[in-house]
Amino acid sequence: MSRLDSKVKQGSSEVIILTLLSQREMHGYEIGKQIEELSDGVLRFEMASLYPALHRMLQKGWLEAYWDTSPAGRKRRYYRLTKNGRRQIRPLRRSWKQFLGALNRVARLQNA
Amino acid sequence: MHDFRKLVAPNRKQDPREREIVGELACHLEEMYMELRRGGASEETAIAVVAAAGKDLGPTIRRLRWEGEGGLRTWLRAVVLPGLVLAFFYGVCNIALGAYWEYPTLWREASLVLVSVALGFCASSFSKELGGRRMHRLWASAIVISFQAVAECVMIFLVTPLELVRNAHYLNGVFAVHLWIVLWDIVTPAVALVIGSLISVRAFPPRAMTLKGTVA
Repeated sequence: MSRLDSKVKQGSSEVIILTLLSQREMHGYEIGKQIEELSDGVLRFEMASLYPALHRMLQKGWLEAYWDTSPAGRKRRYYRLTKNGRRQIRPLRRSWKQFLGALNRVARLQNA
Repeated sequence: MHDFRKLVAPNRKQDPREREIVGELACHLEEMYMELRRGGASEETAIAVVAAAGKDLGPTIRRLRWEGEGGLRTWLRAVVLPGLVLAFFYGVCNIALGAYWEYPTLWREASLVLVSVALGFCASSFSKELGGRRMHRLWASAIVISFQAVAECVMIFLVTPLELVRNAHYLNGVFAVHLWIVLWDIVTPAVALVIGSLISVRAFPPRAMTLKGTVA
Protein backbone atom coordinates (compact mmCIF):
# COMPACT_ATOMS: atom_id res chain seq x y z
CA MET A 1 0.00 0.00 0.00
CA SER A 2 2.74 2.43 0.95
CA ARG A 3 4.56 1.56 -2.30
CA LEU A 4 1.45 2.29 -4.36
CA ASP A 5 0.87 5.38 -2.30
CA SER A 6 4.35 6.74 -2.99
CA LYS A 7 4.05 5.91 -6.71
CA VAL A 8 0.70 7.70 -6.93
CA LYS A 9 2.12 10.71 -5.09
CA GLN A 10 5.19 10.77 -7.32
CA GLY A 11 3.10 10.53 -10.47
CA SER A 12 0.62 13.14 -9.34
CA SER A 13 3.38 15.56 -8.34
CA GLU A 14 4.84 15.33 -11.83
CA VAL A 15 1.63 16.18 -13.63
CA ILE A 16 0.86 18.99 -11.18
CA ILE A 17 4.31 20.58 -11.41
CA LEU A 18 4.44 20.30 -15.20
CA THR A 19 1.02 21.91 -15.50
CA LEU A 20 1.95 24.77 -13.18
CA LEU A 21 5.23 25.43 -14.94
CA SER A 22 3.53 25.38 -18.34
CA GLN A 23 1.92 28.68 -17.29
CA ARG A 24 5.08 30.44 -16.10
CA GLU A 25 8.50 29.95 -14.53
CA MET A 26 8.51 29.62 -10.74
CA HIS A 27 10.87 28.95 -7.88
CA GLY A 28 10.38 26.07 -5.47
CA TYR A 29 8.49 27.93 -2.79
CA GLU A 30 6.14 29.46 -5.36
CA ILE A 31 5.38 26.03 -6.80
CA GLY A 32 4.54 24.63 -3.37
CA LYS A 33 2.40 27.65 -2.55
CA GLN A 34 0.51 27.50 -5.84
CA ILE A 35 -0.25 23.80 -5.37
CA GLU A 36 -1.59 24.47 -1.89
CA GLU A 37 -3.70 27.43 -2.97
CA LEU A 38 -5.14 25.89 -6.13
CA SER A 39 -6.10 22.71 -4.24
CA ASP A 40 -7.66 24.69 -1.38
CA GLY A 41 -5.09 23.31 1.02
CA VAL A 42 -5.81 19.65 0.21
CA LEU A 43 -2.46 19.09 -1.49
CA ARG A 44 0.54 20.22 0.47
CA PHE A 45 4.12 19.50 -0.50
CA GLU A 46 6.69 19.55 2.25
CA MET A 47 10.23 20.53 1.33
CA ALA A 48 11.31 16.91 1.71
CA SER A 49 8.94 15.84 -1.07
CA LEU A 50 8.81 18.92 -3.29
CA TYR A 51 12.52 19.30 -4.00
CA PRO A 52 13.23 15.62 -4.68
CA ALA A 53 10.32 15.72 -7.15
CA LEU A 54 11.73 18.82 -8.86
CA HIS A 55 15.24 17.37 -8.97
CA ARG A 56 13.94 14.07 -10.34
CA MET A 57 12.25 15.97 -13.14
CA LEU A 58 15.49 17.84 -13.79
CA GLN A 59 17.26 14.49 -14.11
CA LYS A 60 14.64 13.34 -16.58
CA GLY A 61 15.26 16.47 -18.62
CA TRP A 62 11.67 17.70 -18.23
CA LEU A 63 12.74 20.87 -16.40
CA GLU A 64 15.69 23.17 -16.32
CA ALA A 65 16.68 25.47 -13.50
CA TYR A 66 18.49 28.78 -13.35
CA TRP A 67 19.30 31.33 -10.67
CA ASP A 68 17.66 34.72 -11.07
CA THR A 69 16.57 37.68 -8.99
CA SER A 70 12.99 37.57 -7.74
CA PRO A 71 10.69 40.65 -7.87
CA ALA A 72 11.60 41.13 -4.18
CA GLY A 73 15.25 41.41 -5.18
CA ARG A 74 16.34 38.02 -3.83
CA LYS A 75 18.32 35.34 -5.61
CA ARG A 76 16.07 32.39 -6.35
CA ARG A 77 16.42 29.17 -8.27
CA TYR A 78 13.71 29.18 -10.93
CA TYR A 79 12.37 26.21 -12.82
CA ARG A 80 11.00 26.16 -16.34
CA LEU A 81 9.80 23.49 -18.70
CA THR A 82 12.01 22.09 -21.42
CA LYS A 83 10.58 21.01 -24.77
CA ASN A 84 10.72 17.46 -23.54
CA GLY A 85 8.83 18.42 -20.38
CA ARG A 86 6.15 20.21 -22.39
CA ARG A 87 5.68 17.07 -24.48
CA GLN A 88 4.99 15.03 -21.31
CA ILE A 89 2.01 17.06 -20.14
CA ARG A 90 -0.65 15.70 -22.47
CA PRO A 91 0.12 11.97 -22.08
CA LEU A 92 0.45 12.36 -18.31
CA ARG A 93 -2.86 14.16 -18.09
CA ARG A 94 -4.49 11.51 -20.27
CA SER A 95 -3.22 8.64 -18.13
CA TRP A 96 -4.31 10.42 -14.94
CA LYS A 97 -7.74 11.03 -16.41
CA GLN A 98 -8.03 7.33 -17.23
CA PHE A 99 -6.82 6.38 -13.76
CA LEU A 100 -9.24 8.69 -11.98
CA GLY A 101 -12.11 7.60 -14.24
CA ALA A 102 -11.40 3.97 -13.44
CA LEU A 103 -11.12 4.73 -9.73
CA ASN A 104 -14.39 6.57 -9.87
CA ARG A 105 -16.16 3.70 -11.61
CA VAL A 106 -14.84 1.11 -9.18
CA ALA A 107 -14.96 3.03 -5.90
CA ARG A 108 -18.01 5.17 -6.81
CA LEU A 109 -16.32 8.30 -5.65
CA GLN A 110 -19.12 10.46 -6.98
CA ASN A 111 -21.51 8.90 -4.47
CA ALA A 112 -19.11 9.39 -1.58
CA MET B 1 18.35 39.25 7.93
CA HIS B 2 18.75 35.71 9.25
CA ASP B 3 21.13 33.16 7.83
CA PHE B 4 18.65 30.58 6.65
CA ARG B 5 21.45 28.30 5.50
CA LYS B 6 22.18 27.60 9.15
CA LEU B 7 18.57 26.54 9.66
CA VAL B 8 18.76 24.14 6.73
CA ALA B 9 22.01 22.51 7.77
CA PRO B 10 22.88 23.56 11.31
CA ASN B 11 25.28 20.74 12.08
CA ARG B 12 26.52 19.92 8.62
CA LYS B 13 30.00 20.79 7.54
CA GLN B 14 29.68 22.99 4.47
CA ASP B 15 30.36 20.67 1.57
CA PRO B 16 30.93 22.45 -1.76
CA ARG B 17 28.81 19.81 -3.48
CA GLU B 18 25.87 20.72 -1.26
CA ARG B 19 26.21 24.48 -1.48
CA GLU B 20 23.64 24.93 -4.22
CA ILE B 21 21.17 22.51 -2.61
CA VAL B 22 21.47 24.18 0.79
CA GLY B 23 21.17 27.58 -0.90
CA GLU B 24 17.96 26.58 -2.62
CA LEU B 25 16.39 25.15 0.53
CA ALA B 26 17.46 28.26 2.45
CA CYS B 27 15.66 30.39 -0.17
CA HIS B 28 12.53 28.36 0.46
CA LEU B 29 12.73 29.05 4.19
CA GLU B 30 13.41 32.73 3.56
CA GLU B 31 10.28 33.01 1.38
CA MET B 32 8.30 31.24 4.08
CA TYR B 33 9.66 33.60 6.71
CA MET B 34 8.88 36.71 4.66
CA GLU B 35 5.34 35.54 4.01
CA LEU B 36 4.74 34.87 7.69
CA ARG B 37 6.05 38.31 8.56
CA ARG B 38 3.87 39.91 5.89
CA GLY B 39 0.93 38.02 7.40
CA GLY B 40 1.58 39.68 10.76
CA ALA B 41 3.44 36.91 12.58
CA SER B 42 5.94 38.04 15.19
CA GLU B 43 9.67 37.56 14.62
CA GLU B 44 9.83 34.71 17.16
CA THR B 45 6.79 32.90 15.74
CA ALA B 46 8.03 33.23 12.17
CA ILE B 47 11.46 31.91 13.06
CA ALA B 48 9.97 29.05 15.08
CA VAL B 49 7.72 27.99 12.17
CA VAL B 50 10.55 28.25 9.66
CA ALA B 51 12.93 26.34 11.94
CA ALA B 52 10.34 23.56 12.29
CA ALA B 53 9.99 23.39 8.49
CA GLY B 54 13.75 23.26 8.07
CA LYS B 55 14.27 20.61 10.72
CA ASP B 56 15.70 17.25 9.70
CA LEU B 57 16.53 18.20 6.15
CA GLY B 58 19.80 16.25 6.30
CA PRO B 59 18.41 13.15 4.54
CA THR B 60 16.78 15.36 1.88
CA ILE B 61 20.08 17.14 1.25
CA ARG B 62 21.91 13.83 0.94
CA ARG B 63 19.23 12.47 -1.39
CA LEU B 64 19.31 15.56 -3.61
CA ARG B 65 23.10 15.44 -3.74
CA TRP B 66 23.08 11.74 -4.62
CA GLU B 67 20.55 12.31 -7.40
CA GLY B 68 22.37 15.46 -8.53
CA GLU B 69 25.58 13.48 -8.92
CA GLY B 70 23.83 10.97 -11.13
CA GLY B 71 22.98 8.37 -8.48
CA LEU B 72 23.86 4.71 -8.79
CA ARG B 73 24.38 4.80 -12.55
CA THR B 74 27.19 7.36 -12.23
CA TRP B 75 28.81 5.34 -9.45
CA LEU B 76 28.77 2.20 -11.56
CA ARG B 77 30.13 4.04 -14.60
CA ALA B 78 32.63 6.44 -13.03
CA VAL B 79 33.75 4.48 -9.96
CA VAL B 80 33.19 0.75 -10.25
CA LEU B 81 34.11 0.37 -13.93
CA PRO B 82 37.48 2.20 -13.88
CA GLY B 83 38.23 0.75 -10.45
CA LEU B 84 37.70 -2.84 -11.60
CA VAL B 85 39.61 -2.41 -14.86
CA LEU B 86 42.62 -0.97 -13.05
CA ALA B 87 42.27 -3.59 -10.27
CA PHE B 88 42.85 -6.20 -12.96
CA PHE B 89 46.04 -4.42 -14.07
CA TYR B 90 47.10 -4.08 -10.45
CA GLY B 91 46.72 -7.84 -9.99
CA VAL B 92 48.77 -8.50 -13.15
CA CYS B 93 51.53 -6.10 -12.01
CA ASN B 94 51.55 -7.64 -8.55
CA ILE B 95 51.95 -11.14 -9.95
CA ALA B 96 54.65 -9.97 -12.37
CA LEU B 97 56.61 -8.25 -9.63
CA GLY B 98 56.24 -11.30 -7.40
CA ALA B 99 57.55 -13.51 -10.20
CA TYR B 100 60.54 -11.25 -10.86
CA TRP B 101 61.48 -10.79 -7.20
CA GLU B 102 60.54 -14.07 -5.63
CA TYR B 103 61.09 -12.75 -2.10
CA PRO B 104 60.02 -9.37 -0.76
CA THR B 105 62.77 -6.84 -1.31
CA LEU B 106 62.92 -3.10 -1.08
CA TRP B 107 63.03 -2.91 -4.89
CA ARG B 108 59.90 -4.97 -5.18
CA GLU B 109 58.00 -2.82 -2.70
CA ALA B 110 59.28 0.39 -4.27
CA SER B 111 58.19 -0.84 -7.70
CA LEU B 112 54.76 -1.70 -6.34
CA VAL B 113 54.43 1.79 -4.88
CA LEU B 114 55.34 3.37 -8.23
CA VAL B 115 52.94 1.08 -10.07
CA SER B 116 50.22 2.00 -7.57
CA VAL B 117 50.79 5.72 -8.09
CA ALA B 118 50.55 5.21 -11.86
CA LEU B 119 47.42 3.08 -11.60
CA GLY B 120 45.81 5.56 -9.20
CA PHE B 121 46.49 8.29 -11.75
CA CYS B 122 45.01 6.18 -14.54
CA ALA B 123 41.92 5.17 -12.53
CA SER B 124 41.24 8.78 -11.60
CA SER B 125 41.73 10.05 -15.15
CA PHE B 126 39.59 7.23 -16.56
CA SER B 127 36.89 8.07 -14.04
CA LYS B 128 36.96 11.73 -15.07
CA GLU B 129 36.46 10.78 -18.70
CA LEU B 130 33.41 8.78 -17.65
CA GLY B 131 31.87 11.75 -15.87
CA GLY B 132 33.36 11.25 -12.40
CA ARG B 133 33.72 14.14 -10.02
CA ARG B 134 36.50 14.52 -7.47
CA MET B 135 35.04 12.08 -4.95
CA HIS B 136 34.21 9.53 -7.67
CA ARG B 137 37.80 9.71 -8.87
CA LEU B 138 39.25 9.08 -5.43
CA TRP B 139 36.94 6.13 -4.92
CA ALA B 140 37.78 4.72 -8.34
CA SER B 141 41.44 4.72 -7.30
CA ALA B 142 40.65 3.18 -3.93
CA ILE B 143 38.69 0.35 -5.57
CA VAL B 144 41.87 -0.75 -7.36
CA ILE B 145 43.12 -2.22 -4.09
CA SER B 146 39.73 -3.55 -3.00
CA PHE B 147 40.19 -7.17 -4.13
CA GLN B 148 43.47 -7.48 -2.30
CA ALA B 149 42.02 -5.78 0.78
CA VAL B 150 39.06 -8.16 0.83
CA ALA B 151 41.36 -11.16 0.43
CA GLU B 152 43.61 -9.99 3.25
CA CYS B 153 40.61 -9.29 5.51
CA VAL B 154 39.29 -12.80 4.89
CA MET B 155 42.71 -14.15 5.84
CA ILE B 156 43.00 -12.03 8.95
CA PHE B 157 39.47 -12.19 10.30
CA LEU B 158 38.34 -15.63 9.13
CA VAL B 159 41.24 -17.93 8.35
CA THR B 160 43.56 -16.84 11.14
CA PRO B 161 41.01 -17.21 13.97
CA LEU B 162 40.15 -20.67 12.62
CA GLU B 163 43.83 -21.61 12.57
CA LEU B 164 44.20 -20.26 16.10
CA VAL B 165 41.35 -22.45 17.29
CA ARG B 166 43.01 -25.48 15.73
CA ASN B 167 46.53 -24.68 16.79
CA ALA B 168 47.40 -22.29 19.60
CA HIS B 169 51.09 -22.30 18.57
CA TYR B 170 50.03 -20.54 15.41
CA LEU B 171 49.65 -17.48 17.61
CA ASN B 172 53.41 -17.00 17.79
CA GLY B 173 54.27 -14.06 15.60
CA VAL B 174 50.99 -14.09 13.71
CA PHE B 175 50.02 -10.54 14.64
CA ALA B 176 53.36 -9.15 13.55
CA VAL B 177 52.99 -10.93 10.23
CA HIS B 178 49.49 -9.57 9.73
CA LEU B 179 50.55 -6.09 10.68
CA TRP B 180 53.30 -6.32 8.08
CA ILE B 181 50.88 -7.63 5.45
CA VAL B 182 48.32 -4.91 6.13
CA LEU B 183 50.98 -2.23 6.07
CA TRP B 184 52.78 -3.31 2.90
CA ASP B 185 50.01 -4.96 0.91
CA ILE B 186 47.09 -2.66 1.67
CA VAL B 187 47.97 0.61 3.37
CA THR B 188 51.07 1.48 1.30
CA PRO B 189 49.50 0.74 -2.11
CA ALA B 190 46.26 2.46 -1.02
CA VAL B 191 48.15 5.61 -0.06
CA ALA B 192 50.10 5.43 -3.34
CA LEU B 193 46.86 5.02 -5.32
CA VAL B 194 45.32 8.03 -3.62
CA ILE B 195 48.48 10.06 -4.31
CA GLY B 196 48.23 9.04 -7.98
CA SER B 197 44.58 10.06 -7.98
CA LEU B 198 45.35 13.43 -6.42
CA ILE B 199 48.04 14.05 -9.03
CA SER B 200 45.43 13.35 -11.69
CA VAL B 201 42.89 15.65 -10.00
CA ARG B 202 45.56 18.35 -9.89
CA ALA B 203 46.58 17.78 -13.49
CA PHE B 204 43.03 17.50 -14.83
CA PRO B 205 40.82 19.46 -12.45
CA PRO B 206 37.16 18.51 -12.24
CA ARG B 207 34.51 20.73 -13.70
CA ALA B 208 32.71 23.04 -11.27
CA MET B 209 29.87 21.20 -9.59
CA THR B 210 26.43 22.44 -10.48
CA LEU B 211 23.21 20.60 -10.02
CA LYS B 212 22.12 18.76 -13.13
CA GLY B 213 19.63 20.80 -15.10
CA THR B 214 20.98 24.15 -13.94
CA VAL B 215 21.62 26.49 -16.82
CA ALA B 216 23.63 29.68 -16.82
